[in-house]
Amino acid sequence: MDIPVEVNILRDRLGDRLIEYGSIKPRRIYARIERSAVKDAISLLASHGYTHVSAITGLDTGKGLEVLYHLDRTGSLFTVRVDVPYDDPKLPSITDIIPGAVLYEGEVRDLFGVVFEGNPYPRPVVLPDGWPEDFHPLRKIYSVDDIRKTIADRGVGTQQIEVEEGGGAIYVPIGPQHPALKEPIGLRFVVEGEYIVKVKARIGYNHRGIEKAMENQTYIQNLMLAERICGICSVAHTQCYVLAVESALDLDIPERARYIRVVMNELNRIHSHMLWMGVAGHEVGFDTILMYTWRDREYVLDLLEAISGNRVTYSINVIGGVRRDIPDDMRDSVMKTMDYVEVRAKLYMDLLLRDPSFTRRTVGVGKASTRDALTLCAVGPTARAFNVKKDIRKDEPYEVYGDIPFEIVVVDNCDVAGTFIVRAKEILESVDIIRYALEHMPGGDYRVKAPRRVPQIEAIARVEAPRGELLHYLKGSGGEQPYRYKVRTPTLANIPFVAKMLEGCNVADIPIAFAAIDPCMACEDRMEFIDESKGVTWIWSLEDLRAYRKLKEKGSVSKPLEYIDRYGGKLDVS
Amino acid sequence: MERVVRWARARSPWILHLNTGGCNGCDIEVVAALTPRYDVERFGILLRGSPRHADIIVVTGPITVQMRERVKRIYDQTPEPKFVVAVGQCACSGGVFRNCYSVIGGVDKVMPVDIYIPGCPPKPEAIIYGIAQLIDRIAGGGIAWIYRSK
Repeated sequence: MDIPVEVNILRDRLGDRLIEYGSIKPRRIYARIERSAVKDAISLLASHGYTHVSAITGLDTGKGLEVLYHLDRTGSLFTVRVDVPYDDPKLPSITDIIPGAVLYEGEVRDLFGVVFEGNPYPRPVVLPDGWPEDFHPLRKIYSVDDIRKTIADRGVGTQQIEVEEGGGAIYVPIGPQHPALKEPIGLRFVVEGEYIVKVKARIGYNHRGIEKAMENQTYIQNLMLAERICGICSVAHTQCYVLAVESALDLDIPERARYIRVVMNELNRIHSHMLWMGVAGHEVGFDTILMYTWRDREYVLDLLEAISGNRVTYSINVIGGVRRDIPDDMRDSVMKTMDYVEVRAKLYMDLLLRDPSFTRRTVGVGKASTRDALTLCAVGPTARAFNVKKDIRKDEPYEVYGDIPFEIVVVDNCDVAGTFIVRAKEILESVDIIRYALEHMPGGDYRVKAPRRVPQIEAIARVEAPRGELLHYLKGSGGEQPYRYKVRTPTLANIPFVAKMLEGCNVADIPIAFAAIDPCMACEDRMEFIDESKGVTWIWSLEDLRAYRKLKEKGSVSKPLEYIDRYGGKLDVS
Repeated sequence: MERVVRWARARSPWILHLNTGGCNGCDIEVVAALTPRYDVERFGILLRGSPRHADIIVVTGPITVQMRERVKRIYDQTPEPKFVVAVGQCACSGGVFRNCYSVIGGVDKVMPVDIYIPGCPPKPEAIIYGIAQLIDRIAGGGIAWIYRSK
């Protein structure tokens, strides 16, 4: 076993405080350290290139709590493990070393009750409002029924929504919902006149408790649940899930299945990027592009339906291979659609980048530096638009991505326009990957039988979902159900970064700047603004923002407060 | 007069799309139904952002604890007569998320539902068929209409 140089440095610096270390799987190193050494260890690793926090996992071992920091350096994952006793669950926050860890720490605090001293984020992060402070749902002593009972007894989530009235504050009550994007999120803005100074996000409207449910279901049942974590990147989630389980089982799957998985992954990426382009076009008022991309997307969905039998939830990946083969006579129709997609993707790029009304809304909007993207741990196309060369398909090739020639698309625009270019070019790369995979696909089986029990070992899988790095963590129990399952989605990783992007933005540019990360769990429909100089708070919906933008372009209003004075709760301005 | 109102209502039902904690699968199918291949605007269906403009609330996803009060609020803000369509297995019964602690169940746990469209996710054709049935009911003065007008 090769012990990487970082472990030696860690041993020299920490001495006795390094308890054990090792490497079970390739590209996965772990080191168990004393609680007092957390900050030393993280800053030491950060200075050796482990600057990206992929996730922070909480674990209830039955004897105590354990916190796992997964640090990433191009393709290898260093896991720092710290034991935390039940009676004194405290750890220092690492947000001063790596600011991108802020939400991950908050999540562990909510779900396991580990207090990170110095973390600036208010609780709760993912749990509903009114959740009891001393009740942590992912601890093993609570069953799902216990948690349900507590929710009912303590009236969690039944609190009246606070409505601010009088005192100059104006409240526009709109629920957390919106037509173009899908799911709810709350963002709290501090503005100075027209410009945003600070943003705070309230996520968790969508918190369902999937991780706990997974502990009570078999691996085969969990495959269905994993697929439904997100309906858009459904292939990526099952891909990550089967990678984790297969890695824990040490299961080798047929080569043909690996190629089919790659084809499905890339088709999924194409349809997701097209979907995003349409939505983003809609956010800047360019509805033509919404209709174009969504029409073309249907052809990709037709292919996916022909291959898997479903349009959205494909259930193509199973533990040990894929459920269905891609027959040879289907190859031609895939190739034909790929030709069409290629032509259209080039057209979008041409259309968008030369259209002045579009470039005026995107170029220079949502500016942030590459350094911010790195320290706030941005992932996926968002990071790549900010000149961060990071793609799990290249850095840590899974399935057969290592054998397929393709380029990581990186641009240095560092604004919203860059995210468009990255995604359009990625569609073209995906088209090439699919062509290559279909031409080089070997024959043979596409599925092997997998055991139903997973031994008591840990596995961490990462894939490049359409929205970025997706991480699944699995700890087997030796039985048919996992002991612990954790999912870290790319959108959660990107939220601290988009908050940074929005700072300094124009109020009217919020929808497009927020859409730039392709929020998958989120729609920022409920926005709260605080004008610090006047001490006024108000809430706007996206529609308000669009209406405000229109009026501002006409020159009939110049400040948000002027808009409120004149139009107040009126939403529709045509 | 009532006939005119009913006619107008059936010819241009404005819908509000509300995700209460689903996986996005149904949501993209609802939006797909609005785009060129399926194009529900030919039925006069228009997507609105505000509940105050809507006739039909299209709900996707199971109800989560955090969304429960907000869903009730949105329902209260929608003007009468209002109709609720539950799209997808989760909105009908909680579906695959029924074992999750933060999920209450289907939409009918918090508000009355007129049409259930099962499927995970239902195809856009199924969504259009469900809404068309509701429109038929509105136009013909079906059960939902009589119930609400009392």
